[in-house]
Amino acid sequence: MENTKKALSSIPLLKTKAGPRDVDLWPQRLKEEYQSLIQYVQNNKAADNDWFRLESNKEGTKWFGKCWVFQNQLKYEFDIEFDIPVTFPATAPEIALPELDGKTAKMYRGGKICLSDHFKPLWARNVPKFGISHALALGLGPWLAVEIPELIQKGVVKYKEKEDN
Amino acid sequence: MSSSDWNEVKLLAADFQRIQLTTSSQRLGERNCVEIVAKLISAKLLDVVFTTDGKEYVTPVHLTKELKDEAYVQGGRINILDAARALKVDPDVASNLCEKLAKDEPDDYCIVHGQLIGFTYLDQIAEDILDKLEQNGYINSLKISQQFDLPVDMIDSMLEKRNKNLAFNLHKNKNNPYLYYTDSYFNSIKRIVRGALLAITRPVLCTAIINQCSLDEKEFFTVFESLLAEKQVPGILTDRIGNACTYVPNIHTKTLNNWVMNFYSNNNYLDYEAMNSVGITDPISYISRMQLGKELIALTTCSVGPKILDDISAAIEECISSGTWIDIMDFVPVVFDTKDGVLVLEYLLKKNKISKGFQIFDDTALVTDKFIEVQSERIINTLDTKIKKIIESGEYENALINWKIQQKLAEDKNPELSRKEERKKKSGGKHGGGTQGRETKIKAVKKKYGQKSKQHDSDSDEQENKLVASEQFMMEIVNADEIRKNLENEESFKDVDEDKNSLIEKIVSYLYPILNKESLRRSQEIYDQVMANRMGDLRKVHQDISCKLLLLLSDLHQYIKGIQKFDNTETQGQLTSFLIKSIGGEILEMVKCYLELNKAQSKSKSNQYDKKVVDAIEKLQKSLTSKLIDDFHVAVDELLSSLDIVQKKYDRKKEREHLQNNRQLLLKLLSDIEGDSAQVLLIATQILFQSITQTMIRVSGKFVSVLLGFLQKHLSDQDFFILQNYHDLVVQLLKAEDLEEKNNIKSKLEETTPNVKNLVINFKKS
Repeated sequence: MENTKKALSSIPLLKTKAGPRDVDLWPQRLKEEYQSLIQYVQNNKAADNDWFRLESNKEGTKWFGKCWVFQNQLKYEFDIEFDIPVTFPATAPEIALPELDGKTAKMYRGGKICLSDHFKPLWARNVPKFGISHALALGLGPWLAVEIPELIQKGVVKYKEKEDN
Repeated sequence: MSSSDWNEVKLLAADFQRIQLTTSSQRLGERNCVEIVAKLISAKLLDVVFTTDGKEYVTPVHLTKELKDEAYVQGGRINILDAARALKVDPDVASNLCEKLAKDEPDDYCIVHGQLIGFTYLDQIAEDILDKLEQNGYINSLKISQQFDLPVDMIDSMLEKRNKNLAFNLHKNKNNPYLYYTDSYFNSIKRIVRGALLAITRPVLCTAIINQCSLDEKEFFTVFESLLAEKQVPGILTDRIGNACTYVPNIHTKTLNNWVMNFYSNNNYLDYEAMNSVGITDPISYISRMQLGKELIALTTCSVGPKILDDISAAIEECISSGTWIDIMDFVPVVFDTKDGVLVLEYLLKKNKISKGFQIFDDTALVTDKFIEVQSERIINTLDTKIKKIIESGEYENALINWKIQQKLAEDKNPELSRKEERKKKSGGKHGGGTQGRETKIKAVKKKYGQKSKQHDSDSDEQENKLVASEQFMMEIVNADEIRKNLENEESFKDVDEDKNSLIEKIVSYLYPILNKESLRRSQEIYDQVMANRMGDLRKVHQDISCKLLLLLSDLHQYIKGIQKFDNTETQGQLTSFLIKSIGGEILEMVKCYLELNKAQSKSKSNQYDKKVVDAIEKLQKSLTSKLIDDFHVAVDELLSSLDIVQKKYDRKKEREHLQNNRQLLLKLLSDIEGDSAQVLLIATQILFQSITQTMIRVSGKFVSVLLGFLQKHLSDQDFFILQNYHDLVVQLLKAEDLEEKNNIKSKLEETTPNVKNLVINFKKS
C-alpha cells in the first residue's frame, strides 16, 4: 500500500477535463495521458518494477497491451484491453483481462476486473486529475497483486513457457 | 492547433512506446540480493553468516576474529550465548564457531560448560590457586570449582600440570581427592592428630577428636591412616559406619581386659551390667572374643564359668541322691535373675542327663520325686484319722452320692455332648450352669491357651485353680492350708526365708490334686471296707432269718401234714388255727426283730422298702385271725418276697432229716424236763405221734386228750393205760385246789414220769 501511494504520488496529475467526444480538448487530454503514462513507466523502470506494456489506436480511444506478474521466479503474462468511455474522465476506464474471463469471481463479463470499492470514489473525487496511469496503478496493479497468486495457487492459472524479452 | 495537438499526441505515443521498450535498469533489489545470496549459500559457493538483524553478512573469519576480541574483552572467558548476542549471530552459528576455534587452536581455547575459555585466563586462575595454597596450606578443588564455575577435573589437571614447577610438594588427600595440601600443612595436622591420639586413654568418638582439634573429618582420617601406616597410633578404630566410629586406645583395651579377667577370677562369672558400666557395650560378643570365652556360658544377665556350674551341679546331684529339694537361686551369685537360674538349671540337667525323678517348681527349684513322695506320704498318714471321721460321719457317703447324681445328670442332660461338658467342668464351669454359659465359655478359651500350666499356674487365678481342683474331685479331703502347714513343718523348709513361700505355694498346688486323689482313693478303700463289713453283717442276719423262716415254714408244712392225720375236721380246724397263730406269731416276731436290726445298721435303705415290709406284716397279722391256711400262705409269701427271701422246694431227704432232728429235739426236751409233768405229757404225746404217723405235730396242752385219743388206736393197751393214767393225773393236778392233794398227785406223777419217758424213748412202731 505504501508502495502504491509512493508510486501514485510520483505520477503527474492531469488537468484537462475532456472525453473522446470533445474534439477540441481530447488531444490535449490525450497528451496529458501520454505524459502521465511515460512518467509512470519511467518511474517503474527506474524502480525495476516494470509490469506492463500498453499502446492505443490512433484516436486514443482503445487501449491494449500486456501485463505480467512474477511469482516464484516465474513470469505470468496476461493481455490487457480497455476502451475509453464517452463519459471519460468522469467515468474510469474498465480494464479487462480476457484470458481470465470466467476463472475468477472478481471479474465482470468480458474479463473486466472488479475494482475495489475504494477505487471508484477515489476516482470520482479526483476527476479530472486521474487518468489511465492512475487507473493502472490503483486499479489493475493491486488487483493483480491480490488475485494472481491465488489463481496460481488454485491451479486456475498455469505457467506458460513464453519467449521473454 | 488541433493537428499540431494530434502530432504532439503521436510523438508522445511514440515516446511512450520507446520508453516502454527500453530495458529497465538492471538494478538488484534488496529482495533479489537476499535471494541470490541464499542461492549461493545453498550451492556452497559462498561461506557467509547472516547477522541476526538480517542486515549483514559476515564471513566466518571475520567472526572468529570478533569472537576472540570479545573473549579478550570479557576477561578470557565468554559464554557462547553472550558471544552470539554480541556478534549478532545465531547461537548455533556462534557455538559452531567456538567449537571450531577450540579445535583449531587447542592450546589457546577450550569450551567448558558452554563457555569459551582462553588458556591465558586459566593460567591466571592457576596462579591464584597456587597463591592461595601457599598461603593456607590446603585447598579444596571442589570449592574452587564452585567459585570459578569450572569442572573439578579441569582444575585438578591444571594443578597437576603445574605441580612439577612448584616450590613445595603437593599432596592429594586419599579420602577426599579434591583436597590438596602442602607438605608443611600435612605434617602439622599429622602432629596434631598424633598428639591427640597419644593423649587419649579411653574410647573416644572420632568426631569428638575432630572437633577438639578443629580438623576436617577427611583430613583426620587421611592423617590417621598415614599414622597407622607408620605405626604411630597406639590404638585402633572401630568399624567405620559413616563417620560414627570410635578410637579405642590400646591402653584402654588392655585395662579393660585386665578388669574383666580380674572380675572373672574373683567371681567366676561375668556380669553384663558391670561390664556395661565399664564401657563394654556388647558384653556377650566381648566375652566370646576372649580367650576364656569358650568355657563360659552366656545367660541373660551374665556369663557363668565352669566353677559355679560345677558347684551347682554337685548340689543338684547331692539333692537328687539325698532325695531333698534345691533352689538353684540359692547357689548362684546374687546378680543372677530367675531366667538365668532357669537356663543354668536346664543346662545342667541336660549336661548331666538327668531327666527324671524330679519336679521343677517356681522355675528354679528342683524338688525330687522322692521328697514329694515322702511329704505326701507323711501328709496322707496324718489324714487317716480325718478320713475315718469323714466316713463315719457319713459326709463321704453324701458326697459320693451327690457326685454320682451330678455325673448322671450331666450325662442325661446332654449325652452326646457329655464329653464337652466334662471338659467345661474341668475348666471350671459350673455344673449344669446353663445360666452361666458365658463364664464357662471364657474359661474354655483360657484353658485352650493355658492348658499346660494348669498346675504351675502362678498367676492371679490360683484361687480359681483350687476351685477347679475341688470340683474335679468328689470332695476336698485335704485343703491347701493343711498341706501348706504340713510342708512348713518339714525341716528343710524351716530355715528358709520368706521368698520361699511361693515355692511352698507351688508345691502345695502341685500336691493338692495328688493328695486329694490319693486321700479320696484311701477314703474309698476304707469306705468300701466298712461297707463290706456292714453288708456282711446284714447278709448274715438276712440269711439267719431266711433260714429260720424257711425252717418254720417247712415245720408248718409238716405240722399241717400231721394235722391231716386226724379224721375229725373240727379237730383239724382247731389244730390248724392254733398252728397258724403260733407259727405266724413266731414269724412276725422274727421279722420285726430283723427289721429293727436292719434299721440300726443301714440308714440308706429307702422308706419304700420299709413300707413294703410293713404292709406285708400287717397283712400277715390279719391272716392270723382267719382260720384259712391259704390266706396265711399268701400273706407269708408276700412277706418273704418283701424281705427278699427265696422259698425253696421241699426236699424229701431233708424232710426226713428234719423229722429226725425234730424228734431228737423233742427227745432232748423230754429228758431235760424235770417236774413239769404237763409238758412231759405234751412232748411225749408229740413224740409218739411223730413216731406213729411219721409226721410232726404241734399242739398246745389243750389238745393232749385229742392226741391221746388218736394214739389209742396205735398203742398197746398197757402203754396207752400208762399214758391215760398220766394224763388223768395231770388233769387232776391242774384241777386240784388243795395243796396236799396236789403234792399227792405230784408225787404220783413223779413216779410215773420215768415210765412215760421210757415208754416214749423205747417206743417202736409195731
